[in-house]
Amino acid sequence: MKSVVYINEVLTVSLGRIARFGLLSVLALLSACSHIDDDERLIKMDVNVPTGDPTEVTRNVLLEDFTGQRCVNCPKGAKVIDQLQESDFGERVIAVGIYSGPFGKNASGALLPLSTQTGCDYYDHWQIESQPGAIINRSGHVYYSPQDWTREVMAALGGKSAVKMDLEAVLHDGNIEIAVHSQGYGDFAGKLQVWVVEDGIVALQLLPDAPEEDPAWKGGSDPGYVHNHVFRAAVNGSWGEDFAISTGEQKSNRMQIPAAEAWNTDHLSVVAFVCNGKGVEQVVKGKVKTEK
Amino acid sequence: MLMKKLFTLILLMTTVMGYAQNSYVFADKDGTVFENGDTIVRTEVEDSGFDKQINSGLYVKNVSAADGYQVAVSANITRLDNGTVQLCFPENCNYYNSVGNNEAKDKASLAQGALKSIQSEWLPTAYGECIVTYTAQSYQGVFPKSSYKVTVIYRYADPAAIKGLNANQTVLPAQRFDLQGRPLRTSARGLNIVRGSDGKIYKFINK
Repeated sequence: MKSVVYINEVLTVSLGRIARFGLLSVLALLSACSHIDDDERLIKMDVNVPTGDPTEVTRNVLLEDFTGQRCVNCPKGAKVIDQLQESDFGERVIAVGIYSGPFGKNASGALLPLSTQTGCDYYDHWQIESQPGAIINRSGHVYYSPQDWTREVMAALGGKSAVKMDLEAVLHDGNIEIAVHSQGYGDFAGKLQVWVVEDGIVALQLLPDAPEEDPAWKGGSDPGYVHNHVFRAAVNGSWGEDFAISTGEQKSNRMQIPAAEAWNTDHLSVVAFVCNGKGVEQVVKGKVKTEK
Repeated sequence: MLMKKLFTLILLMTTVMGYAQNSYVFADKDGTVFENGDTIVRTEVEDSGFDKQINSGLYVKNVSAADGYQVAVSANITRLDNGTVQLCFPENCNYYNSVGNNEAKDKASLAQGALKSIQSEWLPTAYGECIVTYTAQSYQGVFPKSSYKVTVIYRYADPAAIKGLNANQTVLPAQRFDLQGRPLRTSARGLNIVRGSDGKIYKFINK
């Protein structure tokens, strides 16, 4: 079953193209055109949605955004992620901001506050060349233009999965206790990876000099910038643990990780996904609940 | 009368051709265009919140590019005493920590008259100098058209040592010479020797 979704797209009105049609056309077109804000520009896309068939599971999408606090163009990527997550299918788009790479370090090579060595290992492994860059469902390709992210995420949302997953995460005595429940809708073998992410972190972010869409903005650095879905730690090793499931099988994987002092436990979530050489088979996200 | 009209027509055509050759150029934040081949000295150190940095202050400006023309910015680093150079034009941020030519990875299309910062800085970790020649390469589709170059000399020095030197000055080429010492009217391919308006001699390679 297909559904239509409208996603914002940044377009540029080009006077050059208009000029080909002559002066009269220009005047006619100019009088007919008005500036359209980014928020109001929509593109139509078809997306597969759950059919309600109990024998089928739709695949969610994992978007790994390789970003950095010194990367002035990275907030544009974060904006695209916000737009995706605000769409009708936002809950199926699970984004993780991996603060890493040269723009996640200072000029001397020291990690900035939101960067992690694990994130830098991922950056090196995937051979990211510039930032922002995104990997979508570990398809093997890095997308450097945030405008491509929307297209690729929408395409990925159409997939079916062999694994249905959900998870529970509870903060207990300073530890995050996690249970990942899986059910086989087909046969699958690969890795189970579990991460801790944090939303709502207020921290310094460098911003573009003068974004063309906001002439009033003078650029510089923003100490009040809010960083969301920030990768904090890998719970079961940087590359996960072996995982296999067959049709009709159910299993639960349990693990825990101490909550670091720097983390705000009210804003923590856990992301769990299963993947193999073909990419991500399924991904889910759940908020860390505080034990009463 | 006929001659006057002819002269006007030729002048107009020359102007149009001149712009067409350099559809994308480098300018400052106010839109003032640098001459192709200019050398600029940057000494003003800013604190980004993470690092010290010296900003190129360079913007790309579309002076005459028609629809379908794009621009890419490459950075040829000929001297890097320490630290790193970064360039964030147009969509991604790239990072260079060694001497060499760094080709652009993506292109932008700007409306006529529009300015966009190339967001390039030197992040020094000690006193020293860094020299980068930036090239704005115009493209029609995949075909490269005109290119426009500006060299930025970044200097990070003890403030006491540069007292009296105006920060972020533009050194206009007072005289240009080739390797044989012959005067040049504009920058030429290969090694150029320039006596700047500050009286100093600069050498740069125009590829």
